[in-house]
Amino acid sequence: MTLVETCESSPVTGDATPTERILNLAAYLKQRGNEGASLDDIARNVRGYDPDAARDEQGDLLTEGSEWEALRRMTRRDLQDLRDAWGIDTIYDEEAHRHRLRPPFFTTQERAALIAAAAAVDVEGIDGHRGQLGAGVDDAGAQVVIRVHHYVADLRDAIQTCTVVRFEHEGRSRMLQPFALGTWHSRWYVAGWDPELEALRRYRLDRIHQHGPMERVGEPGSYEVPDWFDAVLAFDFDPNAWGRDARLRARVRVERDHLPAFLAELGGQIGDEVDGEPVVAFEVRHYESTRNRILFFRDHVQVLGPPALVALIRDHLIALAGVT
Amino acid sequence: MAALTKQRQFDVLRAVLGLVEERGSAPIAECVELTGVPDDVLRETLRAALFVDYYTADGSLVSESSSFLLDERSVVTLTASHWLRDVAAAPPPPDTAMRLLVAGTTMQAIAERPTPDLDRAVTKLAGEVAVELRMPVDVPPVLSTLREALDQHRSVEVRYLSDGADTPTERELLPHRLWSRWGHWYLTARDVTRDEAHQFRVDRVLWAVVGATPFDPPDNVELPEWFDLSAHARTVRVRLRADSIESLPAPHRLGPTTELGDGRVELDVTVTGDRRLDHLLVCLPADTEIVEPAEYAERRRRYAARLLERSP
Repeated sequence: MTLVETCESSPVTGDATPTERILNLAAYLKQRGNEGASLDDIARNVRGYDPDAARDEQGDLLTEGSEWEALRRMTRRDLQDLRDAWGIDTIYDEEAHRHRLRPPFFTTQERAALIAAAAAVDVEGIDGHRGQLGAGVDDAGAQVVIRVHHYVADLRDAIQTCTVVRFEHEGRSRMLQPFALGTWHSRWYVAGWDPELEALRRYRLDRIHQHGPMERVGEPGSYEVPDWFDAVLAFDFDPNAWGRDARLRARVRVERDHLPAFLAELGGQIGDEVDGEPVVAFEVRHYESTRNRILFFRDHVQVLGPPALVALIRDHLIALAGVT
Repeated sequence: MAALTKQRQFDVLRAVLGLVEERGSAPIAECVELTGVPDDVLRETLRAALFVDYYTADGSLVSESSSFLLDERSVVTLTASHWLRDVAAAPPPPDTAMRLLVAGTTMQAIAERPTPDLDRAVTKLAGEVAVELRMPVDVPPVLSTLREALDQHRSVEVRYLSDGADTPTERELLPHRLWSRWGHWYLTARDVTRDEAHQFRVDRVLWAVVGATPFDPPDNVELPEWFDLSAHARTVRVRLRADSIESLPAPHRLGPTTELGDGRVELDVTVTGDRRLDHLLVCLPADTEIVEPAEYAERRRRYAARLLERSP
């Protein structure tokens, strides 16, 4: 590869723009590693600083006077710029008077894995800001598109700062100490504590109707996520679990071709076979929901028991059909 | 053209170097478009990152300029890793961290091999975002077979149960692309007996094996932004107990609700297709009043009678 922009070595004493000087400083500190660099080292070796700053007879930088003060201020500003613009942070060793780079947040390999993930998974709804990690990938070949509801970023901030929010949900004003965010069947939900109802609640974000950002109630840090809160349980939407009817153990014979769809809809465990077809067993806590979901499979399934569930479905169909 | 401020130069450099790291290379024209600065100003700004050099303790001059190149084709390329990102100690800003966490968590779920680097990165992000995030991702069992067929540019033989069908069909498909959206995996593929490609829901593939027919998949496979099912929308207006709404079969769309004052509500319920309409009608509680279309009441009665006849 031929370089069009020639890279002739510039003398360290040569002129450098502030941008060049700051990048030179970053490169130099990276090269110094744990040893770090003193102000004297920086002045001598990094292009853009004053290598001729006043020194004593031993050649060491004088740590007083206007030249030293100017050098110190310039270095401090440049380190601040590195922190603000590039996330490159330093530690100052007071005893040794040396600057060292803080360890990186991600290793190169971790960053590469995240970039690959960002290319494979297109996250819609949270904009990637130019220059930020994962924002430059070509997601035209993404395998997966995840749609993130626009309140997710708002609620993330509220959760992170432990700030109570208020919003309109299905026509009612709700107050919530948000604890966690989660998805179920591609829908986003927030779970948390409603201090007015004194109960754990979860709300579907696409049923929240709010103009603009969510209203914050009170100060950040006004609550703590309790130890008893279990995010796995909070987002367990399995209708077999959340009903309040007396518990039943259903046994349903399912034609093999319809088994994957049946298991996806109702869950359960595959047990023995009846007439060459598998029998699925599962807990029932909500009769109406279970009946409705079973009816979707028409005559490709047969409820074997318990008799109460068989009668429930049969009586419902008899009532609708108007037969006796 | 006035020179860019220092902060603007940083912004431009961050954007270009990020783009180049994440795509491997980028034409200067694309960098111009991305940053919004003219070609000559951009080249001048990039020189700042080319002329990075310093002396080491032993007096030798070290240059980091080899970390990226601007070649004679006006393409910017990274020759090593992005050293400025390599030393970044700060975590990503909150929104970026959230976006990466969602992407990383999803990637963990669909990966077919261990992902130790990603796992560590996701753990760091989760700590940073400080939000409990539950994102179950379904991975259909035949996904790996479909991927294998795609990688080998071979057909795939499947047993496929279409939505609402009673019996599956056996097909030989030429897979073009495998993708996931709206919580489902899809295969864009052409049936060998057809001329056009279609979208197949992977969770409806009951069985799959890599086939014997080699083929060249098309280069650019456009993914549908959405499926227009409006022509199949079926709406019924009903009066029913308010607490029955939660048991209505999904997916459905609810219209505005009018409270009738006796514990019942009146509203429109919309589903897609005749099969789901029939299902909705028999799922409504027996005391539900069908307001309109009036003929749906009879349709409901007949469908319930048919299900009753078929039940053993």
